[in-house]
Amino acid sequence: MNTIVVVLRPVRDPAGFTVNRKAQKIFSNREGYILNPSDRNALEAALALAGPEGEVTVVALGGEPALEALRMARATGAGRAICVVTAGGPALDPFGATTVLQRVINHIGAVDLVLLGAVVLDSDSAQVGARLAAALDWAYVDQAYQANTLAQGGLGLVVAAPRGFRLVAVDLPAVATIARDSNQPRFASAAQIVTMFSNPDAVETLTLADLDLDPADLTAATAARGESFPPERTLGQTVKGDDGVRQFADTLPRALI
Amino acid sequence: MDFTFSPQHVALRQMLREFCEQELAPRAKEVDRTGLQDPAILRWMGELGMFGIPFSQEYGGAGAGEMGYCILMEELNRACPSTATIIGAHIGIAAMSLYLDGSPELKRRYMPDLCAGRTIGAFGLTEPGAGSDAAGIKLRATLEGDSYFLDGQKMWITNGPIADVIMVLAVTDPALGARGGATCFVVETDWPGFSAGKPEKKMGLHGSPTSLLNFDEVRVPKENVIGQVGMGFVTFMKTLDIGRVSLGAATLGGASVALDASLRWVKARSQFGRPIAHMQSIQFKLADMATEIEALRALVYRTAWLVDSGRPFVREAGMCKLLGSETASRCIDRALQIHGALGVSRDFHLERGWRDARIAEIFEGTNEIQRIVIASELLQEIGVRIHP
Repeated sequence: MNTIVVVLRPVRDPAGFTVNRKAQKIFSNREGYILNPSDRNALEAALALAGPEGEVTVVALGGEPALEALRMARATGAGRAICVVTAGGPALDPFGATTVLQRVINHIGAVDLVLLGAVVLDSDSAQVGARLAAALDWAYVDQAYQANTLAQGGLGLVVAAPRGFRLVAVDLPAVATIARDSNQPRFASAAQIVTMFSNPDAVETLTLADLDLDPADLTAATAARGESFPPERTLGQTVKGDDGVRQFADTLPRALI
Repeated sequence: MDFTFSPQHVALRQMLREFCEQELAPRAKEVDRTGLQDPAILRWMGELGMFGIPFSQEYGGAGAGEMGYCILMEELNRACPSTATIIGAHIGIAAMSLYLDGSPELKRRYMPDLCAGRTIGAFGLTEPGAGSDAAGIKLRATLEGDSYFLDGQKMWITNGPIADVIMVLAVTDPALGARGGATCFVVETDWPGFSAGKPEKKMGLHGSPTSLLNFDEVRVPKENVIGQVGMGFVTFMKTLDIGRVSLGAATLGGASVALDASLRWVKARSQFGRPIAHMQSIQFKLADMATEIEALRALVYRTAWLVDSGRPFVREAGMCKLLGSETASRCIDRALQIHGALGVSRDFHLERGWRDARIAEIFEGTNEIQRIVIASELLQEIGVRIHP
C-alpha cells in the first residue's frame, strides 16, 4: 500500500471545562489541548495497517497545538508530519477544512488511504471525512472498528451493523473514519518523544499560499448562531424478572447503535 | 525566569501518565498483596525507554535528562510505588554510578542493556555493619593477577533478588579506608560465588524486592572497575547526591496522588447534610497539603534544572529528599484522616500509600543524614567544615 494519511485534530481538553446547565454557560477552568480521542484510534489503525515498512503521514491544521500533536504522532511511529499553518486565517468550518485537506492530499501524492477519527469532541459535525471523500471522488466508509488489507487487494473495514458487525471491502484509494476506542493506541517511546520534540525538522509546515489557496477560498459555508444545551440525561431502562436477561440482550444492540 | 515545562517534557509526562494510569495503577494492589511484579510489564516499560530515561541516547538512553527522570519518578510513584522503587534503584543509583564515572568501554558494555531494561541493576553499599556510616564498609576486594576477588556481604539491597548487574562498593585497601581505599565494581549476578538472599518482609513496597547479597570469592575482571581504583566512595557519594533529586520527585508523586484522591472524596462524601468540602477542618487540611506539595514541586524541578544545567545541586538535592519524604508522609496521613475509615481499608490505595511512603525517610541516606549534608553545605559556605 502507498502512503496512508491520518488527519489529527487537537481539541480543548474537556477536563478543563465545567458546564452549568442552570446558567446555560460553559466555564473554562484551564486551557489545554488533547488529541481528539478517535484520531488516536485512527493513527493506531494506520500504523498497524502500514506495519514497519509502510509509510504513515500525519496532517493537522492550525497552530501550536497542531504542531505538538504532530510531533507526538511522529514519536508514536508516523514517518512524516505536515502542519498547515492556518492560525491567523479564517476560522475553518467543515467546508474550509475539507478544501485545505484535499489540497494537502494532492500535495503529498501517491496517497492510498486517508483515515480520520469518527467523532471530534469539540465541534463534531461528522462531515469532514465524507466531504473529503466526495471532493477526491474516493470511496468512503464511516465508523470502522477494524481495518485490514484483503488478500485480493483493497481494504477490509469492519463496521457496526444492526445486530453485530459487517465487513466492507473497499477499493483504494479511499477515505475512512475510525471509531473511538476501537483499538488500543500504542505508546510513544521516551527516546522518540525526546528526539521528535527536539528536532525542528520533525514536522514540515505549509502555508495556505504553498497550497495555492486564498483565504477567500475558505470562507465558511456555515455560521454559528449560538449555543444550546441538550437536556440532562435521565436514568436508563431497568429490566427485571426472569425474562430480564433476554430483554437486556434484545435491548443492548439497539442501545449501542 | 520561566517555570513552564518544555513541550518535550509535557509530552513525556502525558505518555508516562497514560501508561501509569492504564497499566500500573490497576495492578498496584495485586503487586502489593503478592509481592510479585509482572515481568512482561517491566519488559514493556523497558521498550518504552523508562529504564534509561535520563541517560544520553549514545548509550541507549532516552536523553530526557534529570528533568525527564524526575517526571518519570513522579508519575510512577503516583501509580505504583513498588514499581517506582525498582526503576529508582535501577536508574538513580545503579546505572547512574556507572554512567557518571565508568569508562566509555564499560558503559558501552553495560548501559545499552540497562537502558532497555534487558538487564536490571542494583546498587550495593549498605552492609550489616555499615549504613549511615557508609565509610565503615567491610566487603573486601583483593587483586590477584588481572582480577579482583570480592568477599563479604551487602544488606537491604533494593532489586537484590532480581538484579542482573550490581554496582558494588568494596574495600581494595583497608589501610586507606573509604577515602582512597574503596573501589566500585560492576558485578554480574550469574558469576560464581554470588548469591542473593530471600526477599525481606517489609512494611511497604512489597513489590520491590530487597535482600542480602553474598559475595564468596567472586572473581571480577579488572576492566569492571567503575572509574579509578580507590575512588569508589566518591563515585557512590556523587551517585547518591543526584539520586536524592529523583527520590524527591517520587515522593512528590505519592503526596500529590493523596491530594487528588482527597479532592475527589471531599466532593463525593456528605456529612451533616452537605459535602465535607464545605467543612473548614477539611479545607485547612487540603490547603496545607496543596501548599506543601507546591513547595516540593518547585524545589524538585528547580533542582532537576540545576543538575541538567551543570550547576551545583548537592544542598538542594538533600532538601528534595528531606522535604519530599516528610511532605509525602504528612500529606498521605492527612488524606487518610480525610477519608475516615475508608483511609485504612485495604481495598483503597491510601493505606498502601501510607505504608509505602515511610521508607523514603530512611533509605538513600536517612533524613538525619540529609540534615547533616545540608548543614555541611551551608557551613562550608562560611568556612566551617563539619565531620559527622
